[in-house]
Amino acid sequence: MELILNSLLSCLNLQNLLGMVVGLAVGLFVGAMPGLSGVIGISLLLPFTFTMEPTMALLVLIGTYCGSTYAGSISAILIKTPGTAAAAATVLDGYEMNRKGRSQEALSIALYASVFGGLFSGVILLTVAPQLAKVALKFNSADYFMLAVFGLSVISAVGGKSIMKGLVMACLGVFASTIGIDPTEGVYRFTFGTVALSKGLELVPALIGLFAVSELLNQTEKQFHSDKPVTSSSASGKYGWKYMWRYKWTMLKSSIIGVIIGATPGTGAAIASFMAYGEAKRTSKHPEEYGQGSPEAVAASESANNGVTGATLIPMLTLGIPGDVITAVLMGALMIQGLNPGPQLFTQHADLTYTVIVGFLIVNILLLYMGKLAIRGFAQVCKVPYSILLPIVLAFCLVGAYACSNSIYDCLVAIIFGIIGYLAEKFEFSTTPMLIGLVLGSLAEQNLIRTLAASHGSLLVMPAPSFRLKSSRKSGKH
Amino acid sequence: MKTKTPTRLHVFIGRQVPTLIVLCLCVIGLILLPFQIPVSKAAQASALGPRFFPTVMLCAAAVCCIISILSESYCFFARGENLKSFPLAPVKQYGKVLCLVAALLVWYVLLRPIGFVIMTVCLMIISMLLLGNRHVWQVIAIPCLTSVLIYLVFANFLNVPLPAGILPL
Repeated sequence: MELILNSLLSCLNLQNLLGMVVGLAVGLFVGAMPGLSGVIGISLLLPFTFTMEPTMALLVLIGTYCGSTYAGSISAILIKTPGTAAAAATVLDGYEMNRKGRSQEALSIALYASVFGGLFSGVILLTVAPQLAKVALKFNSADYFMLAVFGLSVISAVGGKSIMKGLVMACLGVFASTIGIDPTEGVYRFTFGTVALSKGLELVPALIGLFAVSELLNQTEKQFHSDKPVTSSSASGKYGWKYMWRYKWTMLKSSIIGVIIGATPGTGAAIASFMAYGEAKRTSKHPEEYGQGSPEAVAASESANNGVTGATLIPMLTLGIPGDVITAVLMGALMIQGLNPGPQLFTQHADLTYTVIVGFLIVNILLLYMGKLAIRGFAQVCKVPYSILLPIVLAFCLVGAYACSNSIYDCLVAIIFGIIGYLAEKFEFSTTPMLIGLVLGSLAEQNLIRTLAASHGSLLVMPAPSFRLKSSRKSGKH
Repeated sequence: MKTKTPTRLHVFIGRQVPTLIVLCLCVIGLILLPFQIPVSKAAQASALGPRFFPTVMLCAAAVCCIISILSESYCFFARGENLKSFPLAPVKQYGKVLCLVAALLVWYVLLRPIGFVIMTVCLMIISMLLLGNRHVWQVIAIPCLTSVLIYLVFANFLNVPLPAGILPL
């Protein structure tokens, strides 16, 4: 309890509050712009966080994460283009409400439902994560290897159209992580005699390439413009918590769905929002209104996709397993700050971990106020043509890659991974497993080698991790 | 002029080409692997040397490629399913993508000798033109302002020494 109170005081520090506000502002911007996403926003902010205190750096990035997840609904409702995949379900009824002149109502419902979902998942994160970390502390190398395999296989299975192609990308991602010095014998691997490759591939340039540069190449191919007319969002009406009370059960149920989906690696907010939408329709008194502009549907999908945000941090903070791309990037940010994600975060860096969790709750409270401001101003920003926005994003991406280690070589990594990402998505090879492979590669290799060395090359220890063996031995005695 | 619609077999073959290319790359990687990871005699005796994990990963990727091809072949030949071809854009659009990739590579090569500001202005102008922007003042003003602003912010406030090149910045 004392730790939580100290964390609260740390979060309310002016510097950290400012960081959260800046993170939220960036998140709201990138989330509401179709084509941009939370990943791009976090990638762009990452170089700025290198010189910050670890707490502030993480709060800025979490602000961006929460802001972008909510803001996808703004463009979904106003211009029928979801800013993020998570807002895809919101388009169905949100845009219909907008067409009927109820855009203010739709935007407000989306905001309040998002805040509710975010706060709910934050409370779950605060209560469940420390307990899970206690269990995770008992894991040995075999368990960690199996966890890495689990994370990779689940993400490969749900990340794209083909499971096998997802696995191919995951294997190639893990393979790419072996570039550099071998952890066991210190031998150079695939460095081609260059000094730059000897330290291995940096995560940030690779992810900037895979997601931001590839998206730019994709948009150049499509030459897509988002300059559709925006319907007025100035309809009168007050929509607060009192108004939202009628959707309390829908929001609660959807938030629970969001938390369950979010805590499972490899799923994501888009799946959660569609599942919650389907469940809300199934149990609704007016299912016929769904798809015709139902406020209940907007509340369901938005509380579910924001319910995911806190839950995805659970496997990342407790097990060191990123559940999706954004948490993979957040994990990279933790590593850059010299912190290893996993159960030891709750013992060695408990103050920082709890500050991040409490900060997550505060970010969601701030989102309510900043979201209201964003709703007013965003109708204009959505009109910025892609031909202006994307080149600016490209310049920031390249600088972001360079700033990672002040090396021009990292820009080349970003460009190469951009080309790989563009081609891979074109031929239905999902890029997410590749990134997760890059993140989990060294964890998988070190623990596999350690386990095999300890078991004299026997793979039989793998399917039954030690804590299960111990429990089965105990039950055998009785 | 009539455009030829691809036959089912053409679609099937077209779908397998990228997977086959990845498979070939994995095989090439496996062949080149011993040349890229020199190991001592002591390490050669151990199966868990530095070559172990990359070899496992390349083999796993190759096996997944083969399974992917086999499963699509089963769907196509045994179950008679229709496969969807990859959504391809007109050739002209790929030309634009190639131009942007070339511009990115030129930006990378000339970044140090010419400098960040000039090269980024050029890159942004090219990308704006490729994205279809034809407003002269936008194409000139936005890249200039953005590049200078980024340079000043990163170099002065974030201590990131971006290459100044030929400009006396």
